[in-house]
Amino acid sequence: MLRLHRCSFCGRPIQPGKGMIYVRNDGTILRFCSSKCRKNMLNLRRNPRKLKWTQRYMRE
Amino acid sequence: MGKRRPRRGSMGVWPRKRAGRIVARIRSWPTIVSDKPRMLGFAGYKVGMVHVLMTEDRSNSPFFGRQVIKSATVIETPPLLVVGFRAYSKDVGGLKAIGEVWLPKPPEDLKRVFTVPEEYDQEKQIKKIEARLGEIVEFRAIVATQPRKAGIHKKKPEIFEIKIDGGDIKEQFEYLRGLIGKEVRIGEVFEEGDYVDAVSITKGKGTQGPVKRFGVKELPRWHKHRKGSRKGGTRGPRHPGPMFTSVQAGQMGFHQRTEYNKRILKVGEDPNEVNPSGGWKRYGIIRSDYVIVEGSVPGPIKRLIKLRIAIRPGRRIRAHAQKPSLIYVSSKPVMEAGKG
Repeated sequence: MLRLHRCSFCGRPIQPGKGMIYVRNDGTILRFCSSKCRKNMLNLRRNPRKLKWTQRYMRE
Repeated sequence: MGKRRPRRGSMGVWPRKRAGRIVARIRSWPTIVSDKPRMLGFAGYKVGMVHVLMTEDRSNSPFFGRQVIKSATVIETPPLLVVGFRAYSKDVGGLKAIGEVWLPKPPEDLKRVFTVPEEYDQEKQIKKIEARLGEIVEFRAIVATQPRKAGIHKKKPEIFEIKIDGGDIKEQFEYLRGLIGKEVRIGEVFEEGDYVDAVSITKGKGTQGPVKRFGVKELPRWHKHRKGSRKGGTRGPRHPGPMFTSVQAGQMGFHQRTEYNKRILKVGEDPNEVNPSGGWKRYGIIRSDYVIVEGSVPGPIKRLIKLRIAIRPGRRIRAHAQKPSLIYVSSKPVMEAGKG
């Protein structure tokens, strides 16, 4: 069985064997499809709901 | 002497010079136990590498039964054309060829390799071998690759021998007589789960210094190193003369290398199952049969890789011959997933 995970930032499914799993100190598991998503979430602390290129973008 | 480290670079592969030919030569063949005669090797062109998702089936692995990602190499294997065969008898110096049979009318492309004789009496040669069948200890098929059927822009076939084993000599002779002029596909030689050795010529790197060639330590650029930072220390004592064992600059790569015990993960007949939408990088698209081999294989993309039945399988490999369960190959992304 092929199991796909969704990216914690952009919300798209991650290709098997790609991306990165990040575990926060409190045990929260974050899965990223790319370094772009990882940096946007962890380094730049952006909100995916405010970015048009993510699937989580919310229109006003 | 203080701490002793292993020498930089193996002397087992000395001399490190360019291989004589771009097509690797298989120097030794295994013997197999089988009722029927069969070919012990195959060849194909390296396409590129992928990663595959599969269920780990090695029972000694901590990941046993779980899904794992592994790296793998795709090799395109267009059918080999059997253009002849050769008979060998035993001699004091090893094997000695005592006769060979060729196709009377070989395909056009073979003219790119050598001059094809105008008249050739195949029956006469077969009778010659048949008369000396008692002396023969080994048969080898002479095969030609068919690069026109592959995805690369190449026409000139490679011609080489592949050992036949299994059954007795008479059966092997009959098998080859029936095989001559016919195509052999990879599925008739190897199965999924088989272990093979990959023999090829490695990527050429040209002349290189000892740092890249042997991995000697690079010294600081300026601090107390007037004579160079990328040099390999002393070349040895004045006496007893030259020894050839110290690191020096020279040819790196383009050597023949054999990598042992590669597991065949897939023997594929439908290239659409693995061809990526934009084609393979620096290769093109696969048009014929292909194999996916676990791990890496020596040589650059498009080079001929010879595959041979594993000549030294360990105990674990012999005990563990089962079909691998491939779930996913990375050259065909899951459609609903994004590119990332």
